Amino acid sequence: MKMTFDQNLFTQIGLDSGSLTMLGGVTHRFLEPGQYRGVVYRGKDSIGGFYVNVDKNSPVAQANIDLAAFDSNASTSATNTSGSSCSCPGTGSATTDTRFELNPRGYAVFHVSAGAGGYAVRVGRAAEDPKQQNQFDSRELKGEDIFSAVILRPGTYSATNAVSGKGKGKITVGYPKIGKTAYRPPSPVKVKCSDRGFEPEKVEIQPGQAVLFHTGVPSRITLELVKADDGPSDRPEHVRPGWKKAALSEKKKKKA
Amino acid sequence: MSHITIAASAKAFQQLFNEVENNFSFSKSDTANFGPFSASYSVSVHLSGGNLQLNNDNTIELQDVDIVFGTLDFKLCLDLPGFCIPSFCLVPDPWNGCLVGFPGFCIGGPICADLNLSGLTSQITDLKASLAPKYYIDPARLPGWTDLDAEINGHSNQWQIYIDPVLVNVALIDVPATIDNILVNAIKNAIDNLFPSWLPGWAVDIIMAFLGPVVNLITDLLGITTSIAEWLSNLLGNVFGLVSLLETALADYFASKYPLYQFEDPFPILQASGGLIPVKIPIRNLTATIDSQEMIVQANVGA
Repeated sequence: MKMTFDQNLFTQIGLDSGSLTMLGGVTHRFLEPGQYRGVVYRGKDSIGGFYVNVDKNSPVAQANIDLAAFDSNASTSATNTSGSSCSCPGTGSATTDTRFELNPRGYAVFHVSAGAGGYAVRVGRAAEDPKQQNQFDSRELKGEDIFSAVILRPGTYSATNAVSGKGKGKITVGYPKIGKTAYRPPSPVKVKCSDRGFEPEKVEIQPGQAVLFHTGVPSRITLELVKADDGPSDRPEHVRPGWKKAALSEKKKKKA
Repeated sequence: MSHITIAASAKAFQQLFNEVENNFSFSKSDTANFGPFSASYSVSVHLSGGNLQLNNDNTIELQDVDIVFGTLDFKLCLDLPGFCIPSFCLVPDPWNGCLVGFPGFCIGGPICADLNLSGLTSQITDLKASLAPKYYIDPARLPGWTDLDAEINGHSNQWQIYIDPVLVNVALIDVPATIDNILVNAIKNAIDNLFPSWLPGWAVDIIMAFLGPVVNLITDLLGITTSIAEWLSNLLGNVFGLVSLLETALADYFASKYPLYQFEDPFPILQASGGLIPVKIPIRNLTATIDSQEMIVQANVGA
């Protein structure tokens, strides 16, 4: 039996909207038609670029832009939901010529499909005017941007907005229970980021349930584990039996 | 009128029968693929107890004999090609749909659970038989040998009286309800052993929660509509055909493998002594019958 899943899902605890991993994504709307150019960063390093053509006549309502596709260390794809207007290859790394198409009423979704992540993205008009060159930066969300955070590790988290510095949220992730049916995460929970901080301030969710941060004010949301929940104290420990040398019987030991 | 008549009381007959019963053994192993799962077993059985009744219609009847599975190793492999915990929404879209799904955990290939079910029992619910005398010519006896040569060399011909079944009924294996827990735990362990050592306990619990109750997983994959105990009993007894194999093996064993009683022919009535050879009489036309009190063996002295 093979089980394949990304180790990062279980080892990366905590999220940062300015440093996206597999469990975090950012949604942005480009309201004005035109050509946009994006740059993908891993930490401070630029690792790739792409173009977004926002066109009133485009039927594309959403473009899923996989930031891991621009990382030579990851092998993923960057595609539109329609899958029709992306010039990047179906699999493998995206190139600087990667193009996306989007209707001005649509959404661009920046996410990470695999790997360690740590990505940020900046998108601006493909114009000479420097003022127009920085329309969107995932390290400082604003307007109608949404930060989607999925938390797997049970425990209590603090939520902070590193840009406004206002308010502090608390997210409690319950411990999974094996019920009568297979567990499926409930629907996402919405949290509004405003001048007053987070609304609501306290959220209780289940593992794998998403929290959608709607950034009404400039925001960089970070979630940090404050107190881990390792489940009931009597939970059976996960120990693989592995291979053990068979113990010699007393008689055999004496003979030896 | 017969020259010789020997009778064995019901008690003596019971003792003769106990010998036959105690000597029975049967072993078998098999494996089969049933699509979503495969199974294999290895069994060895012996008989124990039961009620023997002699009837006036020249038959014996045997009931409630335990068939004890001294060894019953059962291996179940669930074939899970491409079984994936469904992805869940990672980046929801503004219309309550989902733009980016959780990559999911994919499981493929077989997962096997070994169950030691030794000690389970079945029963001979009914065995009806008459007695069948047979004349056995030892194949190792050389053509030129006299009866004396054959006796000296240990290859005398024999009269043998067998129990000749006319019907044998074996019940399905009695699998206790506790097998549910045993199987579920075996599958849980098999899944648990697949998790990498770096995976923290809380992550294991999340994955197990996603899989849901293992008992449901098992019953769905194996297509079990009754209880696991009934399913297993039916799989071993009917699908693998262990019940009919046992019935055939029992009938064959009683009818031809181990006689109820045997003696050499010609039968020695005086041992050799004082330089004289033994006195032996040839036995002919041997019959064996039963009534409610005893077994009666009759024969003539031949030429």
